[in-house]
Amino acid sequence: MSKSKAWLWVGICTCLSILFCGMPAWGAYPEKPVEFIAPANPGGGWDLTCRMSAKVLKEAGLVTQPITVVNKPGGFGVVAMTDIVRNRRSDQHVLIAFSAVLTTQMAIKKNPFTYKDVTPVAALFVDYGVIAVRKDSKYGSFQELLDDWKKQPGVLTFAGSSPPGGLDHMRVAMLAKAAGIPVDKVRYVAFGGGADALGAILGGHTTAFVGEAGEIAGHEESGTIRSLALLADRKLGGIFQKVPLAKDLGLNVVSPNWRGFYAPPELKPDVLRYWEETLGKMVQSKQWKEVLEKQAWVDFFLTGDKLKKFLDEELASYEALAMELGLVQK
Amino acid sequence: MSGETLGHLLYGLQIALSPLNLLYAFIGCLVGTLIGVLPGIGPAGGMALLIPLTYGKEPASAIILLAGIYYGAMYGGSTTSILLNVPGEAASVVTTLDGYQMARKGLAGPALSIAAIGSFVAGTIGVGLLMLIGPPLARAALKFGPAETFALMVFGLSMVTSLSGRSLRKGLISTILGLMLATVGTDLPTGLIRFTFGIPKLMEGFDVVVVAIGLFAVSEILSCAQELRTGQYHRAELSRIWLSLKDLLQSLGAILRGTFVGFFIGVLPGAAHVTASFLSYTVEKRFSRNPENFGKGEIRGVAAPESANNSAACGALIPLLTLGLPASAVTAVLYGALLMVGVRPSPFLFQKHPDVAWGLIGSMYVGNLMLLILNLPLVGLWVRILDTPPRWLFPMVLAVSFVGVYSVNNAPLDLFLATILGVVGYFMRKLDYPLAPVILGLVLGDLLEQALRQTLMISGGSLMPLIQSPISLVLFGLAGAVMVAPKLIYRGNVKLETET
Repeated sequence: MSKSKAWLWVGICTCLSILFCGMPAWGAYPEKPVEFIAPANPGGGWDLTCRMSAKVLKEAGLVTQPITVVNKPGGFGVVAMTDIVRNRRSDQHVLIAFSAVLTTQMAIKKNPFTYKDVTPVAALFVDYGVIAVRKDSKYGSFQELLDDWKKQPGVLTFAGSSPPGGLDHMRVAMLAKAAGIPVDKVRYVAFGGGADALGAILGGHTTAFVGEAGEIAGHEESGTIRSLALLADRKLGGIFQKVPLAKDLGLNVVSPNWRGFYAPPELKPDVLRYWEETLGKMVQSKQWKEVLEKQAWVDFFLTGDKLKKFLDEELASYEALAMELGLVQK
Repeated sequence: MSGETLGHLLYGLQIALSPLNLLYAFIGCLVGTLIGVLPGIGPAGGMALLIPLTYGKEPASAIILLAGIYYGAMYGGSTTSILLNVPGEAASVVTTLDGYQMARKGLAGPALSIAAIGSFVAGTIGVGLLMLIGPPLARAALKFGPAETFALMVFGLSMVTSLSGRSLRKGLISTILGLMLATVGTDLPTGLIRFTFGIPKLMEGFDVVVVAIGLFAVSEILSCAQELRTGQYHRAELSRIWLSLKDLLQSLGAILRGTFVGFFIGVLPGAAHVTASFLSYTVEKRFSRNPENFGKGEIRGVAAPESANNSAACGALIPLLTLGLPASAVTAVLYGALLMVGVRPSPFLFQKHPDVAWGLIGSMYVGNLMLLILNLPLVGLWVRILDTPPRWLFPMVLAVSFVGVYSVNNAPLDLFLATILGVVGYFMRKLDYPLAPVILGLVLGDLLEQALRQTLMISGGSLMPLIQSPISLVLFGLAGAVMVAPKLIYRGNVKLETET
């Protein structure tokens, strides 16, 4: 083989390999392992969203490639989102858990980026808000708590796990507003996590717990705490069957915390379609329904335009509320 | 022990001793030891990585595996602290104080052995206490609200007196540096972001492992490099590998005191391992007849904190098992893992899932024994590392440290921070400022501030609740005693010495 011919071959091979590198592999997406990022420490809601989804997707045979769950805590999701927006804009193999916590944080202008900077993929389920007290509390019903709260609004304390201005705080504020209690009198105490907030009411350090049904399912079941009202638009089954809805008690407050996934900003349309379909199949699966029942979660599958519209509406309502609470300056 | 408990225990051992669960306990202990030995990725991160392994397993097997990683990591954590002055996690920072000095004197073997034996004794007694007095203790721990937690943190900070060397003033300055580092990041009570200078990574604050490795390991390498250059460096001549009977007898009291201190602190919310190990060290130094030996290679200074962090691991499991409350980062992972395998942690875990609760307890007895058998022979291997010529050893230590730092968050910025802190640590050593108080301040600072502000939120701005609770008053009293006592005790000792 002459020298020039050899060079020609090298050239052809180089061109071909460059060509193939740029293209996706011939196999169907995902052709390599997928990463789910939980933007919080292990054990919390985002972490469970990722791990439960990964587990069901595997068990139901919907994704054959390995799915790894990575925890990237910090700033209520901001650290993970910043990393995605800045460094992994076109990564096609990563989904990040998100929830109403992100919209509330946006509403109080705490986030440098919003869901508009990334690609929302799907909402999967909601976990409804709940107000609970210790089992030997003097408040036997929501009405009793409310009467006392109206009489001395600055004395009752609510323990929750989000920062001030976050979802748990907004829940208490929404109740106060509906009951005609001045929102600036609301005394909300932020704890480092649902468990710490629960510990505070079990130890009698605060009056009531504000959080989500899923967080206290084990305690409701064993009777160590008493759920007074659900901030839901429908009755929950299972252990929460007997718990009344706030709106049936005269306070029209519904506060779901939905959870789902977003993807990096430059997600290809067919990859987006793949995840919409795959997650759609997942929420239909038997295994997923079992998870929902066990966690006291409620199915809430939204994708595409419906999801965007939902996010816009939710953000607008939280922004209005945050303004009213004086959490943001005009 | 009542007959009923004995029956439950036998049932638990029966579950733990089934061949499959023995295998899981062994894997857990082995992986835990590795995670403990390698600085950086701590037990919580390691357990989270292995959660997928538990899918489809029996819930009891899953928790046996994961808990094995937890207490296994507490065993391994001392290895790099003693050998290389690289604290793999916050709880083993105290171990570097005397452990590394022992290694420099050629006593790395006895230091590692006493750490393993202390861990075994503490782990075994810890499980026993967990089994016998767990539920009432968990209910008592609930009395610790924000006001009591604040007092506990103040008490914790008072331990700086035992870490300060000659000058308490310098120790206090170091503590304040740690407290200042603790303010960086997202402020929980308000959600405001403080002192991050627009760097998103700093929103989660300084990671304790990054600071510990930077301050201790990197600065040690810098110091040694300088000693090598000026010819002052003395390589540790291995004087003996095995523990003598005298060492063991000397440390026995320290191990037992460490065990009880660690266990009871472990049950309380907030930074249990760190507080436990620092407190047990303080106790040893206070009650020692020769407090001046601490910090120079005193074997009790290794035995006590290493025992304490193992029994703290048992204590920390109590709120999770008896109340369904994960009070620490590690137990939060266990909580999540239990949910994943279909067990909802609740106050009735023992009644509803006896296989999980008693199986775990059974496996911890077995696991502790496995760890002792696994770790003691390794001592002979580990001490060989110190035979490496310094020009190879130090680059290796630096590599291990940086891999550890990087593995915490996979963030390149952390490497940069660790380097800067290494330089800071180098100058602090030169100027005789103690390093351990920085870690104490960093770990306790966050909780201290949070607890104070939660107290104020609850009381509506009044400081009264801080002194209304008897628990807080006792803790403040103890803090005062710890701050004032050293002067009196030292004076007493000096007198004794001059008289005899």
